[in-house]
Amino acid sequence: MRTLIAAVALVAMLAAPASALQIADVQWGFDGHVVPDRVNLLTLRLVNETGVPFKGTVHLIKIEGAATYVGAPQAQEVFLTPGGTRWIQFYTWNNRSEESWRLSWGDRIGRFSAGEDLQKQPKFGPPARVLLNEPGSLLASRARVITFPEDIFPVTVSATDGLWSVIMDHPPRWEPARREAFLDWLHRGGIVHVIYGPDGRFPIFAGDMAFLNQDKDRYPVGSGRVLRHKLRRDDLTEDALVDAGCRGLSLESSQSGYGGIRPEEIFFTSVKSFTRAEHPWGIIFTIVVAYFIVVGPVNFLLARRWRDWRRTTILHVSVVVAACVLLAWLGRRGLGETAAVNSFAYARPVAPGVYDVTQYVNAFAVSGGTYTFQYPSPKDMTPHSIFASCVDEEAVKGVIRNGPEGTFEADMPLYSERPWVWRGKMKGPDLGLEVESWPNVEDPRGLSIRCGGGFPEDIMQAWAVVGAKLQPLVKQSGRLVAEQSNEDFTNISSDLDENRRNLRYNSYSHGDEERKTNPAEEYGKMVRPLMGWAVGGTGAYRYRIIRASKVEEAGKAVERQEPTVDTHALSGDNPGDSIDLFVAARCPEGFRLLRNPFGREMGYVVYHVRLLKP
Amino acid sequence: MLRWSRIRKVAESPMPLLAKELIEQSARKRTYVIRIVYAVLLFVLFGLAARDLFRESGYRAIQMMGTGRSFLSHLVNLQFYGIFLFLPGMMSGVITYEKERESLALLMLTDLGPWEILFQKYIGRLVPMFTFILLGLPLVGSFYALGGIETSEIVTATWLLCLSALQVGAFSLMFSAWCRTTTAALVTSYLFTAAFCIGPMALPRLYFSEYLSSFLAAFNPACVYAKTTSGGISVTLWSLPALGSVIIFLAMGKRFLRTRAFVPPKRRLLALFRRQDAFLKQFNAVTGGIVLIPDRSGLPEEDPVAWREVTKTPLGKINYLLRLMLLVEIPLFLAAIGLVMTEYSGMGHERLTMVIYILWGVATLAIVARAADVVASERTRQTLDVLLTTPIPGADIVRQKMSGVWRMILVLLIPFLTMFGVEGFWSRNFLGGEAEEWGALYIPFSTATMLVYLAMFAWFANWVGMTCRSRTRAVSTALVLVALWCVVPLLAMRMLDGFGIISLDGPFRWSWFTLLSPATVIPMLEGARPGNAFGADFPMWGIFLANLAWHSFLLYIFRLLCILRADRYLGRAVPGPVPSAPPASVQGKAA
Repeated sequence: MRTLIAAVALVAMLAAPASALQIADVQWGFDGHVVPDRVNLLTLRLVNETGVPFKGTVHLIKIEGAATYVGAPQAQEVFLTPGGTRWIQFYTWNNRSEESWRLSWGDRIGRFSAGEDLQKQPKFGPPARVLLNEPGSLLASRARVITFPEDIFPVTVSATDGLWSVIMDHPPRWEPARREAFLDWLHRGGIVHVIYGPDGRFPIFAGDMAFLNQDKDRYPVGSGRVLRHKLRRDDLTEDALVDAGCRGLSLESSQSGYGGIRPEEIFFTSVKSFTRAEHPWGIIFTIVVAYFIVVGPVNFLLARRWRDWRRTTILHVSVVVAACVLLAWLGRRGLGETAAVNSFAYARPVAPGVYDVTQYVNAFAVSGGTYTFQYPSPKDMTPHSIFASCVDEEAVKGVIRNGPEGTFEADMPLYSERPWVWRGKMKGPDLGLEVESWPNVEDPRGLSIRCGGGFPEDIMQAWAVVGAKLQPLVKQSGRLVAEQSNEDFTNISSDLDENRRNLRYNSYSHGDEERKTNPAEEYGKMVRPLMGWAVGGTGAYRYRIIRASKVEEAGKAVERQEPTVDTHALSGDNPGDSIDLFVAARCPEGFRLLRNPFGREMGYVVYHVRLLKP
Repeated sequence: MLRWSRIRKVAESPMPLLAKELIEQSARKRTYVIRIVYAVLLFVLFGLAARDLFRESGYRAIQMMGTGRSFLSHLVNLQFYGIFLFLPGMMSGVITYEKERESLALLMLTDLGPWEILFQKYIGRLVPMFTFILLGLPLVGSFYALGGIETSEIVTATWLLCLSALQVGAFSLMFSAWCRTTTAALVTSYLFTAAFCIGPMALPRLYFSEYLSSFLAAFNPACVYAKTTSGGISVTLWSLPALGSVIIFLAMGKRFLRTRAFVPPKRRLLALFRRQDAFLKQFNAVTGGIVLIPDRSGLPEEDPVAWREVTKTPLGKINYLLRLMLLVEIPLFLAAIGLVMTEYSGMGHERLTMVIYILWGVATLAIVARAADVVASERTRQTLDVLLTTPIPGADIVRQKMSGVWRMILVLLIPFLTMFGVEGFWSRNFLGGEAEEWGALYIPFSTATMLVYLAMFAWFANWVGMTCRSRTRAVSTALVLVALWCVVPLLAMRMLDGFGIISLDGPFRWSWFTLLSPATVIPMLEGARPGNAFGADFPMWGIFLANLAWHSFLLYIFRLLCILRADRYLGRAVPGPVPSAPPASVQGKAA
């Protein structure tokens, strides 16, 4: 009996570890889902149930297989008073559903460190449509759609990739950073639905959100839209929203011929491929030929003159050692010249000359050490940097500190690479684009767009997505005008399959020499996959507008013909109401690392501007 | 007292024979030519292997990081093959050369003991081999920067390469001490190298059990390298069998140096056949005097040189030849059938093909060595001058000297025909599709190729042998040139293709140039298909016919060279116009 009591006591002790913190709540994304291939929000409510204050660093890590952790840990400083509670937010890059994550605290980081596994695992879903809730409001319980507490709205637009539309029935009480993030999100292409407040009237917004008070059912704000619906929170159901023209999104996973494409696979493989040795082959071949001559004929002639085998042997060994040192030095020098940062960026304007940027970056180091990567913080805007290591295969020795002046510290051994994704706001040229003539949706060859003064002089490519068409554009006398031919947007899907095949079978080696001499061409190959990803996904995951499966035609219910790709799923517009414009050009100076320890930095950017029909 | 004088002498001149060897080698052009050949082969073959590795990595620096081990492995394997190819040729003549010049007796009269002679000769040939191995060091330097190599791996590789050189050198030296002639020592050394060093790598494909190959692999540093590259205790333990074998080979070499220093030629097989003749003659008294092939031996009525060439060997008489053929044929036929029957897949003849490749190698080695030796041996024995005093024209001397080689080809025809016959029969009757169609053509084309090739190599080697002064030089030069002839065109074409200068699959059929190498068609005869490299839908028999025509032409040229220039090469005064008296002005100047 005594043994049994001791065993129970032991089990009870083991089952209830003495922990400094506890995770009281886990919220993935905005609606409990994470969006594939984008930065997602993870909100945790921490509770300090101990009698002592907690002050220290907590690390969020991903657990995969037998590894202690994979990717790079994200660190955040936390202070919690005894018995206190607080929300903390992390930004995650999720490669798949049902990932295991852990919050650890203490000196060690890893699976067996002090900490707690997240009880909720992320699940993939489309970008969310949520109703903003006032914290502590009793009205929250009356909502029949997914709600999101406004006090945990992210403080940066870069963390809002998982948010599609927001329904508001009251003016939120936000500090300036959150308000700026919300406005940036809206200008970037977000959709705001304003509904009646509890008093049965539209809420009145103040300050820099006063534009939401316009007495119109539908109007554009930047690349985003505001829609006003005469609905109350109590009336808010999925059907009511659909009736009001506010349809939902669905996420489809596509297992096409090559298992579905992830855009980061293409981008990372390509930016990594720019890292190549530049050996002086001419000098190396000359040294090898000279080496043959010296160990052969020269050694022979000297041997005939000296008639001393010791001297000839010493000469032979000296020549071999000298050639060895010389070739080793040239080999290292050839690799040394490849130290560089290569990036591919995707930028969406949130204000004139200000962009929300996603950068796929690869750095190659020729000397080992701990490197700190940081991006510039533009003045007169709230800075915020989000890094994601995007690797599931290895544990990255280093740490990510997201936030204002965020950094990524990574230990890079000799001749190694480090890829990452960066999200943040940056200053760039004001493209100043204006549509001169709106084209026909079926045949957009009449499109003409006037370019502003900040538009890049040399552009690599320009495309417009109009309806289901993909229209190439050329720059002519300060305008982007349509070329004579165009194609279906669905062609991008076959591009992705081709890319996938190339990645799988390494057939990129066909273009080695061209890639070496013409990186612009290789960057150019990444533009179309990026466009597919940007307008709604054409690879492993794609978004569809939820439609009724049957429609009425001539009084009869007939099966709806589903389009292959919803080119306007994310914009929520009808085809013809907006144009998605993509312009690829060299990265402006403002998009570069704050300090680049590698010397060279090369990158291209694709500007994505959504032009809305007034 | 005597001991002190000896010690002083050793201290004054520690290794006189080694010093002499090294001085001679350092002043000899051949040392540097071989060094260059070794270096070029090493760098070119390594370059081709490295290009494949670069291609696999997509030429991306980052993909190549950490691949240094693969580069090291390629380089070390090439160095092992370099040792197997070069060292027997360098080492096998060291004692036989002294025997042939009859200077071994003088050497043994000096105060150098057998161990000292053996060691100094041994080290004298190992030093150049080590300088060859050292030639690869710059390559290590160039790919060390890629990472992925630990220092212990380089140390292990170096140690195993040195051990392999010690081993190959030791048994080649042992055969040099055993054999009477350089040719015999050379051929034996190479055959032993093939069996002892390359055999364990090929054995799993030939034998049913892997135990034997595992056991033999323990004695082979190249196999030890393949098993473990990490260094430490495991390599030390794995090295012990090879180290032990070095000691045993050297001990046996020392023994043979004394016991076989002055051994006359015994011709055991010939003696055995003669004893059989005597027995059969006695037995004939019982059987009633049945003689199937009457013995017509005696002095020759014509072709005395040819008579001497064939009668001093077991191949001299037809009945001896038949006995030898039966002796070889029966076990060979049974072995060929066994090999085909026990193929892994039951659908091919991979093992038989392996044996045919080995047969090609052995036959070429034997024919080249023999043909290069026919004139060089007369020259070394100083009997060529006697031969030249006879009224036989130089062309006839060469032609008759080659009759021994033709007999040898005749004997080699037995295993070749057996193998070709079994493979052709098997393909035609048991394998379907293309193999069945090809089966009928396989035997005539393979036999014709074999006859043309061996005759061509024989005349080529004879030509090389006539231009060399010593047997060692003649045989080794002929062997090296034949090896280069087989390898260089293939390597050159692959290299040009690899570096994008030509395209073997392009519209201009560069692949036809690979027929410059005799080795090109042998795998094709054995079933390897070149695709469209020789032209779309170009028939295989067309390629073989073209190859036969080209090599028959070369055979004719080499034969013509040997026959027409025989007198010049043999050193006989060539009849020509009598030089006229010099002009008066020249006479005046001379005065």
